[in-house]
Amino acid sequence: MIDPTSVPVPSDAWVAARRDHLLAELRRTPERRAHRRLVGGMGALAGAGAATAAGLLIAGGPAASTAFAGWRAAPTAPAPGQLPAAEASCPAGGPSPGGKVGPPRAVPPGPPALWDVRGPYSMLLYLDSDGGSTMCMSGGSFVRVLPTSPPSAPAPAADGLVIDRVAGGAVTFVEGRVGSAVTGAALTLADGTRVTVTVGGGHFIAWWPGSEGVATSTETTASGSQSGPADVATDAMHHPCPSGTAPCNHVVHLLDGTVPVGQKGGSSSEQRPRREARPEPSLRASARRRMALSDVSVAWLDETASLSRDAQHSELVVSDRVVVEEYAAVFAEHFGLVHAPALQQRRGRLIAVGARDRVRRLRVAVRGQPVGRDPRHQGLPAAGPPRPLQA
Amino acid sequence: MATRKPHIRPSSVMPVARYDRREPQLRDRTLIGMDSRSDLELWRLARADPDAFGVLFERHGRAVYAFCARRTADLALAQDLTSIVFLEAWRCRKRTEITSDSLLPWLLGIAHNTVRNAHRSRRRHRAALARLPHEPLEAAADDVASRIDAERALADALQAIRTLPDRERDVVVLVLWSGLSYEDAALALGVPAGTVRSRLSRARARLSASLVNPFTTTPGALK
Repeated sequence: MIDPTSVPVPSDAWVAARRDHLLAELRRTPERRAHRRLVGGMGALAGAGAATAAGLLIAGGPAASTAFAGWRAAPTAPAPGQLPAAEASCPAGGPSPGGKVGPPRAVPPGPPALWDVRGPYSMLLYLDSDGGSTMCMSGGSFVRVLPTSPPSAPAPAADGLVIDRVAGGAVTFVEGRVGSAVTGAALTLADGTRVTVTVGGGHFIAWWPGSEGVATSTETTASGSQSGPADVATDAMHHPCPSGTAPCNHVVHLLDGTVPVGQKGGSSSEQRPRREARPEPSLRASARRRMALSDVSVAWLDETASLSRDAQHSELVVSDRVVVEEYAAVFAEHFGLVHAPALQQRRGRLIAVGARDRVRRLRVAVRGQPVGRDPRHQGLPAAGPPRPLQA
Repeated sequence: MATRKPHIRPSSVMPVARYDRREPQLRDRTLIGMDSRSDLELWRLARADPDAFGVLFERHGRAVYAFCARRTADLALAQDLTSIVFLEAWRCRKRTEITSDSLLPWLLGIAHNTVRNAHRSRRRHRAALARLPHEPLEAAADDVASRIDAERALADALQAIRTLPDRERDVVVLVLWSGLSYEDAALALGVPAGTVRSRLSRARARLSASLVNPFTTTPGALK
């Protein structure tokens, strides 16, 4: 039985606010002028339509993103102290041991092989001894570490370029290799944005806000430039964090020196959740599509819809055995979400509310938590206040 | 498809109903819905007095919003459309005579056309909508889960009647979901009341055949 009467009743405050707006509009323009305005408005629609279409094109790309206001399509010169700070913020030490739970994912020892600075954001590329690499992005209040496995695609031609890794989402990272003759390169995104990449040592890296895909690449050599469809490795989109592996657990770190709750513990088997703590079947079903289930799982919140003129919400269906950790607060703050009061858990759902058109997809980490027979654990645990983040 | 005009008729054709020509009175704006004047009276006053029109908004804004929400299953969109409905009503107030006791059927007739052309309507009134006061995100976040629940319930209900022809769907929404009488729905749609009955009957038959029963109210129950 469908109940169509379940329309939330607007409050008196809503009615009063809309009434006042209505009256202001009615008094705004005399009737005759209003009529003229309408005619003029209709006449101007063609031009306005074109402007709107152009605006939509821009809105989908990184240039219009407000989440990374200082981002630049071309690398910029680092500010004094920016690179050392970025390097210091990336976790030092050797790779984390195997196992489901371990210390925060670290970048390989040694200096970075390549760095890419775009405004206040820095991305460092560390090469692993096994042929893989680790990207460490920092800026504002966050650090993100993305380990990747060794490339499988053959080496590019001397004047070519191959994209080995693409990590999309709220931010898209690309990493790849260039031929020995390539001195510079640029990627043209699907929305037309041209992103100049950072090239060095046979590698290149770049990133941009949003999830626009790469359409074409342009390689510059001593003899000139050439453009063509981007050569993307077949496994470039492969999830770098298979379920149950440590790298997935540690993609984000707070900069205040604290360790998010979901990362505490060692790599011993005692720290692994019991079997009964695994998410409900409904969660597992959706997780097969997007989530890497481990002790700290990575989930995509892409069920985004408008909530009001100014707000939108994203939603993830979670089981009552999954709690949102401070990862959510990190991303929420960075991408303009109202995190503390608006990250709501209700009947197994996580709902994030944020400014409209600012978040296309929200990435959060959730942690499976054993639920015992303690009645205190029957409901959804509160997320708790977010920790203050230090820049 | 050509849209039928609701019962908007030039005053030269339709006799003007009688009403008391008293001056608009100042009123306490905080008392939503406390005005005792009839729709007809307010409508006459509203020709020259936006405040009287504001009282009509207080009186019928929620019903128009509910109609738009049921037709779109999008509460944010329904809010914008509600404002547009009243802006349109104001725009054509001088060439519209109301013959029924309630303004609501006519407003829902406008809402009916506004929802059908939601994109065009919003584009036409985009400047006015842009001047709406911004709502704090925290306010939007309040009770967001129940709002999402409501939108899903509305979407399910819309899905249930999606197979109906547009004309029958309109009757279902107006009569069964918005609670209009057959006569008021006829006014809103600009068709005879008998047509409303027959369309509703056909809608019932189709939905019964498809084992979907969205009829949880009776005609006029929500008035």
